[in-house]
Amino acid sequence: MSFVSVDFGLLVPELVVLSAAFLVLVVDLLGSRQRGASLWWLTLCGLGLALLLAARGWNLSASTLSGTFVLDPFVSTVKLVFLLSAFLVTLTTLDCRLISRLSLGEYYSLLLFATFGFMVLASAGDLIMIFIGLEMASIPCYILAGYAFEDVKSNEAGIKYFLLGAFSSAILLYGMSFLYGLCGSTFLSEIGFSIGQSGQKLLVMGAFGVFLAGLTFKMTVVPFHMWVPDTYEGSPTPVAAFFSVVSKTAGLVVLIRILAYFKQGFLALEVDWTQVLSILSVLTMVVGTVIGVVQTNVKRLLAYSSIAHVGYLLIGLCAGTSAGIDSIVIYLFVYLFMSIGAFAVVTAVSRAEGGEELANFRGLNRRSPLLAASMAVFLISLTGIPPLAGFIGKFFIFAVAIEEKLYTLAIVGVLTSVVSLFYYCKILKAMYFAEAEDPGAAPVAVSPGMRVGLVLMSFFTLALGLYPVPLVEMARSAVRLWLGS
Amino acid sequence: MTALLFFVCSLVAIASAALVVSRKNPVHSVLFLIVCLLSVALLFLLLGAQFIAALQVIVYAGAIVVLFVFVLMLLNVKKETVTLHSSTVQKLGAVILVIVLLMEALFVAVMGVGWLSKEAWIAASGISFGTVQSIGRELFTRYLFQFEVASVLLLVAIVGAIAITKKR
Repeated sequence: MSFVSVDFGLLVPELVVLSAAFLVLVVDLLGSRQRGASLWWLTLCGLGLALLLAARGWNLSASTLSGTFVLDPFVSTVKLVFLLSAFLVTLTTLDCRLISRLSLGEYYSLLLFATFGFMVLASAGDLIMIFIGLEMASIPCYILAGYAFEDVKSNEAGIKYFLLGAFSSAILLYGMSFLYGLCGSTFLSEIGFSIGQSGQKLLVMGAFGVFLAGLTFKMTVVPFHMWVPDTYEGSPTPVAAFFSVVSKTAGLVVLIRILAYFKQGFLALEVDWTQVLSILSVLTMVVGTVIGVVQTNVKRLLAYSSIAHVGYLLIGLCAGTSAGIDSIVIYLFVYLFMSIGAFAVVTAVSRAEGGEELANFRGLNRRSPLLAASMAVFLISLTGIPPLAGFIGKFFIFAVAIEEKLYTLAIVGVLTSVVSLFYYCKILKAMYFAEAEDPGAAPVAVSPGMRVGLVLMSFFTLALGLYPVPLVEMARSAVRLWLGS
Repeated sequence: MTALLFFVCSLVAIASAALVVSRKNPVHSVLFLIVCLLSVALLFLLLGAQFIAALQVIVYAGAIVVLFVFVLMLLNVKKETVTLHSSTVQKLGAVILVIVLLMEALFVAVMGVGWLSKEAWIAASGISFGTVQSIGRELFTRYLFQFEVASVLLLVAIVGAIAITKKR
């Protein structure tokens, strides 16, 4: 009997996150009454350690577990996005209005379990690993979405996310079963090879189409976006921030990697997905922006904005070149800071005000000028106005689109960015030019963790806009090392 | 001997399946469903698929039937209240479907499509697919990590269920 050789060295960041999750559960059980702070520190330390370890093994290209677990610079870079997001979300969690402080142990461990699942998903080398990773990531997310148990909206968010998520998993699995049936293998590289050999163009298209539908559901691409606003609005705000970055990134990364594996097969069959992806991209940008305009709830507005941003990310995928993937990686890092930052400010304001409506933001500049200023930085960056980081992200995406002669996508992208300025300005206007309902209101109370998080995120949003060279270099070399190998 | 057992089990399965739909008392239906599922499990066992047989007993005859019984007890269905409202269209549809299904079975049995021919059977019996050993070997070697992650997944589900239902 032969055992698989496991190179645990490659799994270290995942195992650290997993052990942190278990440790949090145990400490929560055994700890004293004042264990809230220690759990918080434990989560941060676990994520920080995993972040350092993932960054250290950044340029490694290897696979283990008989090829089901793949590690390359691109995957490692994406894992940095996951870990960084989880870290920032944890930093800003304590200000959340809806989560009672008593049950934070399960909250942190579920967050860590979800991060672990997303990391496994990004590294998956075969269909089974993709599915297991996806479920490992999704199930904690369903629970987190409904985590504010007393709140009706949070319950609604959890149920909607759960039902539609389970539904989309089933669709994904259906597509996978077709791919397996066609190719007789669950390994992505072997499937990529044998779909070219099979000559079954229609079947391959159908199978991958179903698979794509399942994935785009997770990525909140437009025909499958219906659940997003309700889920984001109802979920506790830090959880919504986590979804807005991590779950989209994970879906996108799986799609990028599968398209890279299947490229030769699709070429042999003369199947081209660029057209489909472009249509999805345009739809996502337009719907995300246009429906966003009429929103009055800031969380819903940010949810639609996050949908629109997935549309921009898809442009990079439509380009189909390594430069396109560079631009996606750059955009992901930039988007991570501004999106989680914007949600963090909403977290703080909603605890002080008891709601996330536009009216709750009125006169915020009077009350807490720093909070308003950081929100302004994030929103202007989300629009893509220089010199902030969002501009750099959009610049590279649109540059790639023009290089590859995807003019329609570039034009729609620029136009929707302009329209999105309108709805971000609604928040800015409320914060700076509207009078507060209660002029004598006290400044918004902010916990130290939130303060550190906001400073970090504003700093990176500014710094990556002013000096993006290291990020661009990192993205380029990661993608080059990955595709070159 | 095996062939005889196989036929007995098949007959029991078919007869109990017919009884599931024809009984007026829903509790009786559920009991016949157990008989049906168990005899199908025996069929799997005779075909050498031990693991699937065990799953059949544990998952279907165990968990799912218990769920049925629970729901029946919760709803407290009396046998008089259950009357079959079937229109002529429904009956006609059922008859057509049954005929199609029988034709299919007959076609496969008579024509001996691929996997039903003698050689295919012998080839299939050589594959140890579905036995406890082969599944265990795969699970603990090739799919070890996936298996472990699945166990973490179960833990997460339990933690989540407790977190949701915990009294505050």
